[in-house]
Order: sequence, then structure tokens, then C-alpha cells
Amino acid sequence: MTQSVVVQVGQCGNQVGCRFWDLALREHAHVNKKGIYDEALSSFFQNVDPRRSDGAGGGAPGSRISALRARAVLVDMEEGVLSEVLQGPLRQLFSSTQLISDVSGSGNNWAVGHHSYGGVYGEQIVEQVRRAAEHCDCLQCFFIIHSMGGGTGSGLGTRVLKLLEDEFPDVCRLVTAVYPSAEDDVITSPYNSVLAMRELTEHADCVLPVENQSLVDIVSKIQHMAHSGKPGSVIKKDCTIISGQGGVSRTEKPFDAMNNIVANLLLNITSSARFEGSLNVDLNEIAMNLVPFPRLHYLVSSLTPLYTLADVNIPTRRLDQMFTDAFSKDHQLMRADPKHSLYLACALMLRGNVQLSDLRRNIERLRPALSFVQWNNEGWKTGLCSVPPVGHSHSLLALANNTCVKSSFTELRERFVKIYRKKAHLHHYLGVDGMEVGGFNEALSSLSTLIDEYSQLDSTRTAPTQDPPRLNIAT
Amino acid sequence: MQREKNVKVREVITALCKLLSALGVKAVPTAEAFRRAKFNKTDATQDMWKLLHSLLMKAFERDCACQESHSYLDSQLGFVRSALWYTGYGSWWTTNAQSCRSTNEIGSRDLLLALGWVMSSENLLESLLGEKVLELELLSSAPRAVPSVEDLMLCLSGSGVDAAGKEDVKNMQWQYGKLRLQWRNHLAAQQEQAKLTHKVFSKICSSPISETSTTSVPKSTTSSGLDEDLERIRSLNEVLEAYLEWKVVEPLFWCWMDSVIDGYLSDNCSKGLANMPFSDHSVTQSCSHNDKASRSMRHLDKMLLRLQTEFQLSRVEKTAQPLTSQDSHTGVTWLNQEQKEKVERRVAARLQGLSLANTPTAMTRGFMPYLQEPQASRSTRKPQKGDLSHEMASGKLHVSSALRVLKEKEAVLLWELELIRQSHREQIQAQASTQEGLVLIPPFKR
Amino acid sequence: MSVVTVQLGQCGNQVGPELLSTLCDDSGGAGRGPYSELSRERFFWEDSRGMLVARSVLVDMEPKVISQAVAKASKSGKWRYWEKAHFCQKQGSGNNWANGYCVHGPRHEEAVEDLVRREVERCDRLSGIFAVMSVAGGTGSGVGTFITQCLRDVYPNSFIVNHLTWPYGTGEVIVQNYNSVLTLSRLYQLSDALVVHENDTVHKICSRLMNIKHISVDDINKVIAHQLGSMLQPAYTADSPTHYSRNPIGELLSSLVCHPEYKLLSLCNIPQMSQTSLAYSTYTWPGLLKHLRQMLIANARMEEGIDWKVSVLPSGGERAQTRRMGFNRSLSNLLILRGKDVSSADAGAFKDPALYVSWVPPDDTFSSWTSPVPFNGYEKSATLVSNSQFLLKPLDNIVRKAWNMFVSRAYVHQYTKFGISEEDFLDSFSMLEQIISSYTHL
Repeated sequence: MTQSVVVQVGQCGNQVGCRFWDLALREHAHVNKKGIYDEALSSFFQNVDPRRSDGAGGGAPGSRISALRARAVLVDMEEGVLSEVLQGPLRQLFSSTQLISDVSGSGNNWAVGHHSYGGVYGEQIVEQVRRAAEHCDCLQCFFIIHSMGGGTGSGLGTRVLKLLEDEFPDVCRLVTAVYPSAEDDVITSPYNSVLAMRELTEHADCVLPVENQSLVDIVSKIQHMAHSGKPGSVIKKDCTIISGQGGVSRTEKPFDAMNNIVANLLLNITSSARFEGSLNVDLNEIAMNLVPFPRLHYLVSSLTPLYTLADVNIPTRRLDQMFTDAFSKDHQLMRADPKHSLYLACALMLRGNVQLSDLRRNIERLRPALSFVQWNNEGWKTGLCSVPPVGHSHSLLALANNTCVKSSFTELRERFVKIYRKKAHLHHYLGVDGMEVGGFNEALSSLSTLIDEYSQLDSTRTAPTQDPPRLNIAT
Repeated sequence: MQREKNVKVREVITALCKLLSALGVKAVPTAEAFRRAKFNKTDATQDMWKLLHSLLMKAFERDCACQESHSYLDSQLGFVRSALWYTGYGSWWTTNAQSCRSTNEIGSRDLLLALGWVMSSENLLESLLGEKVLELELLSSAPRAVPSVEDLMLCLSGSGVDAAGKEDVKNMQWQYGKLRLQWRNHLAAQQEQAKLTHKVFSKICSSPISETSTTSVPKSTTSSGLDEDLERIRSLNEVLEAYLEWKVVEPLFWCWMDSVIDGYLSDNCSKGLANMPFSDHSVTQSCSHNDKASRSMRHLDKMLLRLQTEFQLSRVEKTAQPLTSQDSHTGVTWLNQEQKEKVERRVAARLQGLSLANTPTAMTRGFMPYLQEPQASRSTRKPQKGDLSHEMASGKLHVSSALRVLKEKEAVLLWELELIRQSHREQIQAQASTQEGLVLIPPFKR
Repeated sequence: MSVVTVQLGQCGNQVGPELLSTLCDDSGGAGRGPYSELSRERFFWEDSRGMLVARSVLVDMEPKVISQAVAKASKSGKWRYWEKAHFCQKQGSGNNWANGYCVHGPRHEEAVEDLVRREVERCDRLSGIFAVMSVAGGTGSGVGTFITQCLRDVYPNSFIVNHLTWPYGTGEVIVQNYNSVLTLSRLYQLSDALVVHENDTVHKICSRLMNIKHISVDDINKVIAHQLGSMLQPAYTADSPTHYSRNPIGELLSSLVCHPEYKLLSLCNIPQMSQTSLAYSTYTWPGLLKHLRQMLIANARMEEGIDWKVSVLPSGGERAQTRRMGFNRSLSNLLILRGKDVSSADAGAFKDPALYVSWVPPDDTFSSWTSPVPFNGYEKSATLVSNSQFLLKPLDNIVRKAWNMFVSRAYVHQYTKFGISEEDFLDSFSMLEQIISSYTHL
């Protein structure tokens, strides 16, 4: 069994991260009723002896749980969120050494997070990660969670990413990045996002971009559904997606519903690595299958069911609806429409009571409506994990490497160019040691190149599909 | 100390003798005979002669045309001489027929030295061992009714051309594959048999009653085939053990041989060397027995000469006809290239054949007069040629120096060949790249 | 005579136990005497308590599937895996053939070789090594190829047969065609024969013949195990017409794959149906064989939907016509009949020289094995192991798709990262094009 370490940076990163830990605990508690520290738990949690401070001695997989500690490093440059964690119900999951914080914050300035704090705290963060890695039997993946708009998450988060690449080159780096919406109140968020994107493009193995706006839309849609009281669309009260109920945390905070969605994304992406199934998907298989070219590693994700009724006996039609939803615009965690763009590759990761034939039938059913790149016409990666999420009988996570991300990136570029043309707020950045104007231009051209690469692939859509000539054998 | 060393040497030589007799060499003398031969005692001559003769007989059994037993010492002498010549050994008594008319004139140390030479060149013991193992291996006892190569060739050539020929090839490949699979089937069966035999054997051995009568155990079983197998396995083991033992002590043997050579040189090298007339006549005469290597070398040299002149010719042609039309120009050079290619292929084949089969022979032979011809036509090789001729002139051509020269020459030739090949490859690639849709595919590997 | 099975990767470790269960169950019936004994000796040994222990080695780079396999076997109560016969690591090969072949394989070479050696030494006579793997993933294909290569070095004269599961045409692993191309091109030079099951075909058998509504991976593996079991269980052969052949793999190979250029074997089987309908069905040998023959010549992998219009074309006829007519030409076929009245079955129709390519010696084209013992609950059962154009089309598809991808260099960086260069890819492609060409021009 492999283990992963989560590095959550900044306010958003830590809020999402804590929702993830909460839900993960609940999921394991649901499956693992005997209180045994099993292999599945070991992937994200360490079994420790609470009396010892060095984070050891809790017993190997198979023994009883004495105390669980998250394989995580929490970083924020303000005290607020982290001190909340230390006082909240999850406090026992973390030892104080796993938390790294400062008091003054990054002031929504990427350069401050990346260069100033990166220089001061970089070594300390890596040291903590290294310690967490030492407690792993076989470290497979880093999950890095941060936002793109702020200063700490985008700046320091991407700095950590680079440091991890240097320090652990063989360990897969999977970044969950929350993109700001266009109406973001942080005025410098386009700068921060574009500067961070360059780092993500160059140093991450996979990026799961999540747009704030999509989360808002999904949550409001769920709430609308819950209150409209249509017959047959009653929402379960303890549904994992939007409710914080059932976990360790009791009180629901304003962003919890949104953060829960992202946390669920992480839960599902790791489910196959944690639990048994007839078609396992290891975490390193995700990048292998979904990233045909090293830079094009942005995966659009969608989760279903978000608001379907979760019966025990599901008629086949319901199951098929789940597949259909996964490709609809409404269910994407980005405001993009993969169905009308070009697929480079697509992964379907199923949990629960779903059979191989259901999977095959649905692929065959949906395939004609989707357009795949000519050389990857059958670019499907599938996984079947037998343990469903709590409160459901089955679920589906679709990850698509699709040219539709281009639209969001183009929009972001426009916002960037708009303020960059006026050189607005530039001096805040250039005043920071290590930050130069060139950095802005390079980040912009990196993003433009990325968009161009997607456009180029997009343009093959209309080209006549003809197989390239094969090798000839003289007979 | 000295005594201890002697004992050690005796053990070493005994190991060698054991191995030789296990390999089926007849008339293996005692270790004492070796010791006496070191000091050139005449009473050891007879023993050493017999050993050398039978070892050479064993080694050349297959290749040698003269398979009749050499009952007469004369013919024995002739055989030994030519065989030694073939392995590249040149001592006074082998190179000059006149100087030595009977075996009595040869000292036992001379024979010992020749023996050492024979053993050290060509991996003689290893190849004898290989043959022996093949002979004793259980499978080789099966009748060998494999059609000879000639038959197969006939079969192939008789089948005509193109499609039919292709099918025949496939048919043969099929049959061959089938034979191979069957062979492996038999092998597995044999292994099982051996394993079961071992089981039975060890079961019986471990029971206390028959512990003393292990040798009679196989006889008590009814199968005579099993007896034979057992006997084979036993003698195979003996051979392998002897070889292993020998391998362990071999370095000591060569140390001892060094001391023999030292003794030889300090005693009477002047006499030996003085009696060594290197005349063309005697050389060619004595090597007439098995002359393949020398002929190949001569051939190769001639061919190289031709290749060079043709090369120059083509270069001259190229420069002479710069104004002719493009078509005819390429036509001319193409023809030349074809010829060149042909010659080159032949040279390569020869070289390869030579290096495969005859390298040690051709090299250790030392020198040959006609090597001078191509050298003379080549101006760039002056220093080496000078070396050689200088040493030639002084009449003291050492095997090693000739060896070095030859090796250098071979390296130069190989290098040139590689250059030619390279340029051809480039040409072919250039041509291929101009042709649309043609991709070069390496041949199917099996 | 014993067979050592080597289960490689997730697929191998799922098919493997299924096959061994089938074999164990089938040989467990009452009154089967030598059949049962021989079958057991072939695939199992007995521990001190009389429990059957599989002559198997389990290899995977992650522990989950192996522990499932081990648990499943011991749960059966009839047989088990030897507790020291498995090797696993913590982290999979991530669907990357290069990772398996260049990194994991060499790293664990010795440990796996040791395990195999131990099983081999346990056999009085090694009939062969049967390696079970898929070609799509990273561990089965990559590590599997590497291990096959090692075993070939260690046992140069033993028979090594690889059972390969070919992936669904769509959607298991995206780089499956790359992995397949790299695996097949190398195995073709190492293995004595490649026995192939395509998931698509087996899936169809499950849905159309077995009437399974929700087909699971287990169902697929059961069908594969049934067909393989029928091939591997004891039978009377031409070499030993009066007692059960003791050399199943050797005889299989020498009757089917003598030519090194043609090593792809496919299996088809008749009848195949759900347990419930089995009880209500009766078959006659002539009927079964008539169907099976038509399946052979019409390139149908199951008895449903056979094109009866396809007829045998005389050998040497117009090649293009052959292809248009959908006629499937063979090099050699092996028919295995098991069950009641087997001596009355007449397989003459399979001997028609027009079915075969002309250059194979007529005596070698067709062989048949029989056994009076009904197999796996079927009163009568016929299995055809065929070296023919059966696999030409699926192979061509794999190579075509992989080539399309390769031309745009997609995913290649994932392989070069571990040391598989573009030239290696090209070599593999040309090798497979050669094989395709060989089979096309039969």
C-alpha cells in the first residue's frame, strides 16, 4: 500500500484540506467499524502513540488504532485559519510541528508568498514534508492544495511545489488549484493566477483546476433542488457533498459546502488507491494515462451524483443518468463544456456497485456525442472501486484532459492583460526581492504558449481524420 | 622449500595427466616424465613424443585428411610436424625437414615446449572437453540421422525459384522448428529420467543395508540402458572433475612452463636459433599440408590491392569526366560502386572467415614473404614496413613483432572497410530518403 | 510432468486463481482415476496434510490483488497457494510498460527467479512454464516481459508459453496499445507460443452465450479459465493414444507452433452456456464439430452469429478474394474433444488440406486430443486451439492505434523517462508489422 502526503497552503488550501480530512475520517469510519488501523487508513493517516511527541509508536497496519495523525503539512502566513484548526474538532489530527504559520500574511501578493516567504519558510516546510515522508512506507504522491488568486496559496504554494520537485523528483505532484472567479474582490488576482500558472505548468505532474464560480453554481443548484420539493428529488440530509454533518465537525461554515465538493474530488480520486476494486487505478496511473504531453496536464473534473436521490436499489436508468451527468456542463468543476470541445483523454473512476458491463455500455452510449483527438480515439481510462462513498451506492468521478480548459485560461489572460497594460499595482510586486518585470512577461508567454498548444490540438478536430501511413513491409 | 615446490608441481602435472587421460588422450606419461623432460633427459623423449603425437592426433582427428594410424615413426614425424606447423609452432625441428630426420634427434624438452605451445594455443583442452561432453551427454546417444547439409542444399536448389522456393524455405523452417521442439521434449524426458534415477539411487543409498554396495545397485536393476546412462554420467563427472581440478592449478603449470623455457633459452638457444634457416622454400613446403589460412591471407591481400586500384581508377574517372552528362556520370560511378561493393563484400567475408577460423593460426605463423607485395604499393605504411623489413633483413624476425604488425594491419584494414561501409550506408540512406514512402526496416530477428 | 504457472500483474493474478480453481474442481470429480491424478500432479503438489498447493508463483508490484488471490484460494478449501510463493511490492508500475520493464523488472529479477526456481525444482519434470499476464497495463506487461526474458535465459530449453489477455478495444488503459506493442514484439522473440484471449471476444461470450446481465471481471476470467483448462487438462494424444499424455505443453507446441514466425494461438470452444441452460441441452458430436469448423473458417470466435456463407477456398487461390470472403486460413489446428462417446466423433472435416497453407507438411496441419472425461460440467465439449488468421485483425487494430498515437508522439515522454527510446518503439513497430504481414500472406 502506498501513502500520500497532503500539503495545504493558504486560507483556501487549509479550508479545503480540513474538509478533506473530516470527510476522509468519516469515510473510513464508515467502512472500518472495528477500529483497526488498516491499509486503507494508512494511505493518509499515521497511527501514533499520543503520549509520544515524535509521531511514532502507534503500531503498524493491522494493529488497533491508538491515535490517528494526518499525513499533512499545513502552511499559512496568517494565524486565523490555522489557530481555528488547532482549536477545532480536527486538532488531534495534527501535531503543532505540522503547522507552519506567520502573522502578517502575503497581502494578496504572489511575489511576497513566492519569494519572501518562500525564502524564509521554504526549508522549514520541506523539512516537515521530509519528516512526513519518513513515516511513509512507500510515498507515492503529494497532494498540494491552494488557491490561485491570493498571495500565500498561489505564491508560497507554487514555491513549495518547486521545492518538492527538487527534493522528491520521483514522487508524483498532484495540485488542486482553486481559481478565482471573474468578480473576485482581490484586484491582483489575475497577476497571482498567471504567475502561479507558469509554475504549475512547469513543475506539476497533474493539476486539477477548480473554479470558484462553478462551485458556487453547483451549491446553489443543490440548494434550489432541496427547497423546491419536487417529488422524487428529495435530497438526503446527510449527503456527503454539501453537508458537514456526520463528520467530526458539527458546525457548518459558509464555504463548507463549496469546500466539501473539492474535498470529495480528492476523496474519489484517491479511493481506488485506498480501497479494493476489480479495476484498480493507482495514483501514478492518472498522469500516465491522462497526460499525453508534459505541459498539457490540466484535468477538468466532474463529480456525480451531486444531487440525485441515493436509493439502495437503483434502476439502470439512474445509473446511466450518472454517466450522462458527468459529461454535462453543469457538473464540471470548471466553467467549461468538455462535450463540445476536444478530448485528449478521459478517465472514469467509479465507486460502489457498478459492474464492468455498465461501464462498457455507457462508454459505448456516450462515445458518439464526444469528440476525441484523432490519435486517441478510444482514450478511456477506467477504474472500479468497490467501496462507495458514504450515503451513496455508487459515484463517478470523471477526469478529462480536454481543450475546453483553454476558454478559462484565455479569460484569465485577458484579465491579466487588462491590468498589466496599465502596469497597475506592479510596484507592489517589483518591490519584492527576487521579483522582476521579466517574470511577468515570461508567465504571460508561458500561458499563451499553453493556450496555443490547446488551440493547435483543437484545430485538428475539423481536419479530415485519416490514419497516417503505416510502416511497410517488403514481401 | 624447493622440495615443497616440487611436490606442488608434481600435483599440478598429475592433474594435467588425469585430465588428458580423461579426455581420451592415449599414452599419457607420468609426472616424472615431464620433470625429466624439463631437463632434456633423453629417456623422457619417447614418452613425450607419444603424448604429443596422440594429443595432436586427438586434436586433428576431424580435420586431418591423413587418418591412417601412424605406425611408422617417419610418418608420425611428418604428421606431428605439419600439425605443429598448422598451430603456428615453429621450432628448428619442425621448420626444417632436413635438419631433423628422426625423432631421436629431438630433445625431450623440445617436445615439452611444443606440447605447451599446443595446449596454450587454440584452447585445445577446452575444445577437447567440449567434444567429450558432447559424446557423453545422454542425448547425443540418440542416432544422428540428420540429413547432411549438402542434401538440404540440393533440395533447396532443386526447388526452383520465387514463390515455390519461398514456400520450401518456410516448409524447412517448420520442419526445423519441429525438430527443435522434439529435441527439447527429449531433453525434458532425459532430465526427468535423471531426476528419478537420482531419487531411486539416493533412496537405496540411504538405506543402511545397501550402503556398502552402491556400485552394485545399478546392476541390480534390470535395465541395461540405465546402466549405460549411469556409466556415462559417471565418466562425464570424472572428466568434468578432472578439468575443474586442472583449472584450479593451471596457473602454476604455466609458471613451471616458464621455467622450462628459461632453461631452454639459457642452455642452448644459440644452437636452436642458428639451426633455423628461414627460407621461403622450406616454409611453403612444410605448410603445404594445410594451407588454407595462408591462401586466404594471400587472397585477401590481392583483393585489397585490386580494391585500391579500382578505387583510384574510379577517382580518376570521376575527375576525368566532370563534363559528361549527369546521367552517364552517375551511371559510371554506380557501376564502379557495384563492383566495389562486390569486392568489398568478398573482402569482408574473407576477413570474417579468416578471423573466425584462422586467426590464431595465421597470426602465430609469424610471417610470410608475400606479405611484402601489398605493403610495397602503399606509401602511407612506411614505418611499419620499415620495421618489418628491417627485422627480416637481420634474419631475426620475432613472432611477436610480426604478430603486432599483422594486427596493426588488420586494424587498419578493418577501419578502412568500416569507412567504405559507412559511406555506402549513407548513400543508401540518402537514396532511400528521396523515395517517398520507403522506410528501411531491419531484418526480422529470430 | 508439471507446469509451473507464473501469474504476473493484476490480470495475471486474477486469471491465474480462476484457472487453478477450474482445474482443481474439474479434477475433483469422483471416479476419474488417472485423469484426476495427472491433472493434480501437473498443477499442484501436496503438502504434509494432503492439501493441494499450486505450482504457482505470484508476482505483482502492489499487494492488493495478490492478497485477494491468496485469500480466494484458501477460502476454496480445496487448494491454496504456497505461503512463500508470492512476490509483491508496494507501488504499481502505473500502467507504464517502461517503468515495469526497465525499473521494476530488473530491480526484482533475482527474487522472482528464486521463486520460480523453487517451484521448478519441486517438479520431477518440468513440462513448461505458463506465464499469465495482460499486455495492457504496466506490471503484467512490462515486468511480465522482463521476467519472461529472465526465465528464457535461465531455462533456455524449457517450454515457455505466455497467456496474454488483450485489452478491450476501448477504455481500460489509454496507453494500452503502446504497452501491447512493446510487450508483443519482445515476447514474440522469447516465448514459444502466445495464447491470446481478447477481452472484447470474451465479453461477448459472457453476454450472448452465458446470458450474464452485469458482466464482472470475474465472469470474464471464468470463461478464459474454462477455455484454458480444456486445453491444459489431460488428454489422449497422437503420441500416447492409450494413456493420458504426460507432456501437454510440449505436444501442444510441436503440433501448432513449429515456425518461429507464427506463434499466435487463439482458442475457441463449444458449447458454452450458463449453468441453467446447460441442464436442458443435449449435443451431438457431428453437430458440435460442424459448428466449430464453421467458426474456424468464418473467423467467428463464438457459436452465435457465425457466417455460414463463408466456404473453404482452395489453397493458392486469389488472396484478395480470400480476404473479401472472410475466409480464415490456418497453419495448424489442434482439436480437443472431451466427454461422452468421444471415440465416435469424426474430425475428418478439419483435415481438409484446403483449410491450410500449402507449405506446412500435411501431417502437421491437424492433430486431435481426446478424453472420455467430461470437462467442467459439460457432457460434451470441443475446444479448438488454432494457429491461424484469427488474431490478425485485432493485432492490426492494436498496431494501427499505437502507430497513430506514436506519429503524434503523444505519451512518448512517459516512456523515454524510463529509458525506452523512440527507436525502441520503431523496432517494436517494425517487428509487429512483420508479423502482421506474415499472417496476412498466408
